[in-house]
Amino acid sequence: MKRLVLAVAATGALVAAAHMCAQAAPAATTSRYMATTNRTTLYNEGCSMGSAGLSGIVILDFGEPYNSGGEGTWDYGNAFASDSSIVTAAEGFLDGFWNCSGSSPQLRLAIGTSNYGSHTGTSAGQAWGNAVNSLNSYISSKGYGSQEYARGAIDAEPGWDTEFSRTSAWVDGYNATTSTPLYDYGSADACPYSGYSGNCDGWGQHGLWYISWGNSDGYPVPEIYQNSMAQQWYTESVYSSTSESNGRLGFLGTMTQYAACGCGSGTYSPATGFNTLQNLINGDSRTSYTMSYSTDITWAN
Amino acid sequence: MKKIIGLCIIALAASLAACSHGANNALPVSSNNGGANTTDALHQKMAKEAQRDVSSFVAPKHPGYVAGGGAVQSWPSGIQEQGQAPVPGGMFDIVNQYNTTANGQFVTVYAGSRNDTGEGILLVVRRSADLHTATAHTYVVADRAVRIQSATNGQLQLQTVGGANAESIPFRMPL
Repeated sequence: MKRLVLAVAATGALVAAAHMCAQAAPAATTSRYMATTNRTTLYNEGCSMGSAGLSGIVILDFGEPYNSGGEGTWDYGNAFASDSSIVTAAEGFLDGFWNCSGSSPQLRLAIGTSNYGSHTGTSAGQAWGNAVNSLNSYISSKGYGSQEYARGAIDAEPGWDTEFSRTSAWVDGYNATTSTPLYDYGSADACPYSGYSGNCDGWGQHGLWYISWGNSDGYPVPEIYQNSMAQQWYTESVYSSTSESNGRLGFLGTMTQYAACGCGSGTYSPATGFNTLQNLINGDSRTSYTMSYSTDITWAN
Repeated sequence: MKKIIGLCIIALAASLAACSHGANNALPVSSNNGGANTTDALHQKMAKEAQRDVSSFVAPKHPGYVAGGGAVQSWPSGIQEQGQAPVPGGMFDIVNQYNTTANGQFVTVYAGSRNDTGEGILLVVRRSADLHTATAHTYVVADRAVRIQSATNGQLQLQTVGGANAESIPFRMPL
C-alpha cells in the first residue's frame, strides 16, 4: 500500500511537471506582403505594433529581386522598389515602433525578398546586405538599439531556383557585405520526410541546410502552412544534426499565412503552425530546441 | 511522509530538467560525431543573433507624433507576366496575373495551378485603396493550370495550359 501511495504521488508530480513545461505558442506578429514603400504607411504599421506591446520578428516582404538601373525588388504593388526606397520605408517602421511602444517590447525588423526570378544573384545579395547595414546604422544613430534590431530575410524556395546557383550566389553576396542575421522564411519544397523521398528540387538536403543555417548569417524561420512542411523542416534538422558541422537547426520561429492565403481551413493558424513544428523537433533529442517567435503574413499594408 | 515528499521533489526536478532540454540555454549534446562541439556552435550562433547595439544613447519617445500623409498609391492595370508568386512554389504555381481597380479597391488576380492536385486556380486579392485592409480568396476553375488571356470589365477569359487541347474558360470576378 505504501508503495502504491509513493507511485501515485510520483506520477502526480510528473504530470504536474509536464503541465508546467508545456509551452504555449507566442503571440504572433504581423508580417506583410508589401505593396508600397510609403514611409508614412510603414510608420503607422510600426506604431500599431508598438502600441499593442508586441515583441517579435516582423518580415516586410518586398518581393523578388529586380534591377532597374539599380538594385531593388519588384514589389506586390507591381512596381519597382529600389533598395534605398525600401530602407527609407523601413526606417519609418522603426520610428513608429519606437515612438508608440513602451520600454519593453523588442522588435526584430527584417526586410525580406526572395529567390524568385532571374535577378537573384550576387549583386542583389550584396546590395541587400548593405541595405540591412544601413538600417542598423539608423537604429544606432537614432538611439533605438535597446529595443530594435534590423535583419535581412529571404523567402528561399527550392522550386524557384532548381539549379541552386542563383540562390547560393545571393546568400554569399549577402554574407560578403554584412554579418547581420539573415532569416530564411522559405520552404523545403520536395524535401524528404517520413514516407516521402525527395531531393529538395535539386538542392539536396545539404543545399537547403546551407541556405537556411549553414551560411554564417543564416537562421531558419520556415513557412509552416501545413503538416508536410513541418515534417520536412524537422527532417532537415535531423539531417543537419547527424550530417553537418553545426548541429541541429536553430529555428527562431515559424511563419504562417493564415491572414493572406484565402485558403480557409487549408492553411495552419499561427499557433498550429508553431506548435506543430515545436512538437516535432522537441520529440527528438537530435533536434530539440525551443523556438521563440511566431509571425503571420498578410496582404494588408 | 517525508519520503513521499522527497520522491515527489526528485521526480519534479527530474521532469523539469528533462523538459528544459528544449530551452535555449540548456541544449542537450547532439548525438552526432560533433557532440559538444555542435552544441557549442549552436550556442555561439544564437548568441550572435541576440547581439544588440551597445550604444548608451537612448532616444526619447514621442507617442503623440502623427505621421504626415504620404503619396497616393497608384495601382497598375492589365495582364502581367512579371511578378513573384505570393505563395510557396510548393503549393501553387502561378502563371500570370491581372491587376485592376474596381469599386475603389485594388484587385490582383493570380492564375496558375495547385501543385498537389494540378487543378487550375485563381487567387483573388483585394486591397482597400489605402492598402490597410485586404482579403484573399482562391477559386478552383479547371482540372489543369490556367492563364489569363484577356480581361474586360471584370470578365476574365482564361485558357488552360498544357494538355492536348487548350480550353477557354470565362470567369467573372465576384464583386
